[in-house]
Amino acid sequence: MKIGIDFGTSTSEAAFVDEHGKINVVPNHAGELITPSIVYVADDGRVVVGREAKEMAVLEPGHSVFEVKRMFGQDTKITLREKEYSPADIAAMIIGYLVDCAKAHCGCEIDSAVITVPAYFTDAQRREVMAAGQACGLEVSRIINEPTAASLDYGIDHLRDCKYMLVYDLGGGTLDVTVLELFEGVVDVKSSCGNNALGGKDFDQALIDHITASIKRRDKVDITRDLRAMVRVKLAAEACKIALSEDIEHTIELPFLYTDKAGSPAGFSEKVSRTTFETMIADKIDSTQAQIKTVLFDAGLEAHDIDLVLTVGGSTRIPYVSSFLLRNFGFVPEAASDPDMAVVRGAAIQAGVLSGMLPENAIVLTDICPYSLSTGVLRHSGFLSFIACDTIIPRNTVLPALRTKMYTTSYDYQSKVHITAYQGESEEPGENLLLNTFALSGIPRGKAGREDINISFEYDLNGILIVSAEVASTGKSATVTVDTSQVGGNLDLSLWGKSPLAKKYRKIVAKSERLAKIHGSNAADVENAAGKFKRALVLEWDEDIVDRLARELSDAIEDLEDSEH
Amino acid sequence: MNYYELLGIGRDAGQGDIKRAYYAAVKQHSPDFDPEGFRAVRTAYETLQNPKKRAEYDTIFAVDNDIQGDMLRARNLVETNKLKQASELLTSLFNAHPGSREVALLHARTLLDLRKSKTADAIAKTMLAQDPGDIDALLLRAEVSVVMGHTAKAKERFLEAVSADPANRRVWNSYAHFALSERNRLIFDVFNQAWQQDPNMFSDKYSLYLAATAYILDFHGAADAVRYFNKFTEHYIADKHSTRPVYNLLLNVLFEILSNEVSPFVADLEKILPKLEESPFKQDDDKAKFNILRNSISIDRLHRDDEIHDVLTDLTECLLRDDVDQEAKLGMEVYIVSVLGTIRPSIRRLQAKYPELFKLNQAFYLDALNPKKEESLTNKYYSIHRKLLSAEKLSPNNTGDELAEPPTTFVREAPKIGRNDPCPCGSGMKYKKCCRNEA
Repeated sequence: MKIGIDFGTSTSEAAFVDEHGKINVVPNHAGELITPSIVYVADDGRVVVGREAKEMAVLEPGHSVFEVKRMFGQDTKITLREKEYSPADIAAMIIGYLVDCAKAHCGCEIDSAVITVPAYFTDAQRREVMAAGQACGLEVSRIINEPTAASLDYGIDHLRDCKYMLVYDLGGGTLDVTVLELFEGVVDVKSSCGNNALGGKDFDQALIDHITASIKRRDKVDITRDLRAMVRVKLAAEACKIALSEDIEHTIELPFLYTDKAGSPAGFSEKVSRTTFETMIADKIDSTQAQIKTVLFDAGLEAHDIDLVLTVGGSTRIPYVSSFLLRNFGFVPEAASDPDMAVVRGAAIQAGVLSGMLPENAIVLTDICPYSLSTGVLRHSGFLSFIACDTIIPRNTVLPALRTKMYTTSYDYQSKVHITAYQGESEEPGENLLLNTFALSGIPRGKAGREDINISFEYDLNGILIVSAEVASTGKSATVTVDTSQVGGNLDLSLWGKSPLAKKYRKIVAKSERLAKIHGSNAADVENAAGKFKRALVLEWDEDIVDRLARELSDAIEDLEDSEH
Repeated sequence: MNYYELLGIGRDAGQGDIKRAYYAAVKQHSPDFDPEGFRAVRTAYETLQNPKKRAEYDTIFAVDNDIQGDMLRARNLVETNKLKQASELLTSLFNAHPGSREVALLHARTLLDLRKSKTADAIAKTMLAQDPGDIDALLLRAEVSVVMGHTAKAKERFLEAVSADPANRRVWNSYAHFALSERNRLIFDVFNQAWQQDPNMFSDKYSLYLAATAYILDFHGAADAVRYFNKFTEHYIADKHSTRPVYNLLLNVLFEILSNEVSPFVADLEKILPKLEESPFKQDDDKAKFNILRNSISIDRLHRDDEIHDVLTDLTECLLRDDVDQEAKLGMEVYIVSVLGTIRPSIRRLQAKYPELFKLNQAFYLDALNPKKEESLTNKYYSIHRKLLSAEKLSPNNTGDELAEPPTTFVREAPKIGRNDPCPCGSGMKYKKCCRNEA
C-alpha cells in the first residue's frame, strides 16, 4: 500500500486513502494523530520517537534530537550515545516509526510513500528526504511540495471551484508561499517562493531569549548552558506561544528552574501579554512580505487578483499572521480545515491517485520546476565577452518540460563545443550548481557563427534532466542524462573506480587517501580536492574537467608534502 | 492535429473557453500518467493563451487550404529548429506553389538560417519582381548581405527597406542590430533616425539601449548617452515582465557610467535608484552597490555646488567611504580649523542644504560653528597638527614639501612562474624548492 507522509520540523504525520476513497490519518502507537518529530536514544540503544521522546528529552536532553529537518542540507553529524547519525538517519527513524504505526493500524504491508517537503527545499535537501524514506525500505514514489499538498486537500473538498489561491504555509521551521489556480479539480501551481529558516521555532526562540534575558537581568545567572533548564524553558515558551493564540495573556510558570547566586533554588514566573509577544515577532512576520511580492510577481498577478488566501501550518494560528495577511490582501485568510493535517491529507490524496485508490482524474496536480536550468554560453556585452549562464528552462516552468534553444559556434573553425548544464538563478556560472558537461564534436569547420547548435533540456516530474545537443546543419547529436538526484549530497564516491578513466588516476587517488589517513584534519585541502575529483569521475564528466581537477588534486598533495619539510 | 483540435475548441474561442478546455484536457492527460500528452496540451495552451503567439499561429491558417497542413508542419519544424527537415519540406512546397508569398518567405528565411544565402537572395529577388515594395523581401535581402559579409551593400539595402516602410519596427530592430555589430558611428545615426520616427521604436530591446549607451559614451560623451539611458530606464520601469538579468545589466551600466562621469546623470540616477531598490530582483549583496551609487550622487552634488568649500566636499567623500582614512580626515579637519573664519558660512550651508551629509561629522561641525569653542578647538587641532608633522618627518618616504609618488600598478615583466614549474635558474628543481624560497 502507498501512504502519504508529512515529515515536519516539529511534528510528523502519516495518512492513506482507504478502499472507500476516504482519507485516514494514521494514529501512532500512543493513539495520537500527531507525532512530535523528536527522537530519543535510550541507554540500551533503543530508539524512542514521539511524545515519549519529548518527555525523555526533558530528563536527558543530551540524548535526544529536536527539529532535525532544519539540519537538512547542512553537513552536520548528530552524536547520540557515542554514535554518529546524519540528519537523514534521524529522519529515517521518525519515518520508520510512522510506517510501523501505519502497518499496525491497517494490518498490511506499506511499500511506497509520497513524502512532502517545503516548496523551497533545495534539490540536495529533497534527495536527503528521499534517502531517509528509502532507508526505511520505502519506495518514494513522489516528493511533493507542502503548500501544493495542502491545496490538494482543499481542492478535493471544492471540486467545482475556480479561483486563484495563495497558500501561506508557515510551519515549525519553514515558510512557503505558493500561488496556484484551482480549476474544477485541477491544481495548477503558478509560482512558489519561501524562506527555509523561518517558522514557529523562531517565535519560540524569541520567547526563550526573553526568559533567559530577564533571568540574567534579575539574578545575574546565565541558564543557557544548563541543558535541562533550557529544555523546560523551550517547552514553556512553546506552550505560552500556543496559549497566546487563544488568550490575551498567559503566565509562564517555571518553578525551581535554577539556583541563584546565593545557592537557593529559584523559579521564573511572568505574565506575557499577546501584545508583548506580537512586538517580539512582528519583524519576522512582516519580513515575509518580500516572499509574497516575489511569488505574485512570478505568477504575473497582483494582490487583488487573489481570490483566496489559504493558511496552513501550526504557526498560522497566531492572530498576528491573519492580521498581517488581512493588511496585505484586504480580506480575511481562510484557514485550512485542520492546519496540522492539511499537508498529510494532501500527500495521502497524491498517494491515492498514484496507487489507483482514487480515480486517475479525481484531482490532477500540475507542478513547476523550482529552479532555473541553464547552459553556459559566451556572451557579448558592449566590447566585452564573458561566460554566462543562459536559462533554458526558467524557474516556475510547468513540468514535464522540453525546451530547445539555438546557439552558434563562437570562434572560427571551431569543430567541438563543450556543453554545460547548470542549476540556479544566477547569470554567473560560479554561483550555480554545475550538473553535467559533455562535448559535441564533428561540427563542420567554418567562420564563427556559421554553424548552429541546438541544445534541448528535458526535465521530468522526478527531477531527471536529459540534455541533448545537435548540429543543425548535419543532424549530428550527443545526449547525456543528468539525474539531479546524483548531484545532490548523496553521491556514493566509492564508485569512482567504475569510471572508464579510473585506471589513469588510480595512483593519485590512492596517494590522497593515504595522506588523509596520516594527516587527519591537516589534509582537509587534499580531501576536498579528492572529493571533487571523485565526484567528477562518478558523474562521468568530460575528460578535460576531470583532468583539470586531477591537476588541482596533485597540487594540493604537493602543498601538503611541502609543509612537512 | 492542430492546437485548436487538440483542446477541442473552435477558432473563435475566447480566453475563458481556452482555459476551460485546457483544464478539461489536463484531466484527461494527467502529468502523472501521460506526460507526453500533457506536454502537448500544455504547449497548445501556452500558445493560444498568449495573444501574440496565437496571432502568429493563426497566420498559418491564412494559407491556401491544401498547403495549410504542410505549412503548419514546416513552421513547427522551424520552431523546434529542425531546419534541415523544414527546408526539405519547404522546397517541395515552393516548387508546387511558386506563387505563394507565404511559402516563399518562409522558404527563403529557412535557407538563410541554413546559410544558403545565394538561393535565399534569388527567392527574395523574384518576390521583389512581383511586388517592388515587399518589405519582407527587402529586409530579407539586407539580411542576406549581412550574412554574406557585404557591409556597404547591407547598409544600402537596410536604408532602402527603411525608406519603403519607415514605421516598421522589425526593420528598424534588424537595422539596429546590424549597426551594433558593426561597432562604428552608424549606430548613432540609426538610433537618431529611428527615434524621429517613433520614440518607442525599440521598446522590447533592452540590450540595444544599453549597448548604444556604451558606444555613445565612447563616441559622443555623456550628454548623448543620457538620452539613450533614459529611454532604457523608462522602458525598464514600465515593463513588469523584466527579468533579473535585465536588472543586472542596468546595475552594471550604472557602474560603467559612474566610472566615466556622473554629473549629467545625477537627475536620472536619482529617478531610477528607488525603482531599482523596489525591484523584486534586488538581492542582499546589492545593498553595497546602491550605497556606492547614492554616495556618488551626494558627492557629485557637493562638487557642483559652488557655495560649498572644496575641503568640505573632500571630507564628506572621505567619510562616506566604507573604511574611513582617519589620517586624511584629521588632516582635513586641521585645515578647516585653521581657516575657521572663512569657512563657517560654507559649513552653515552644508547644514541647511544637506542635513544628512552634515550628520556624518555632526559633532565636529557643531563645534566649528560655535564661536565659544573656537579657542579650545584651535588648541586641540594645533597639537594634532604638531603630531602629524612630526610623524611626517619620521616617515622615510616623505622628503618634506614634495608629495610622495602615488602607488602605481605593478606590471610583471616576464611571464609568471608557477610554483610547480621548473626553476628558471636551470637547477632542474621546482621553482618553489629553489629560487622562490630565496626570493
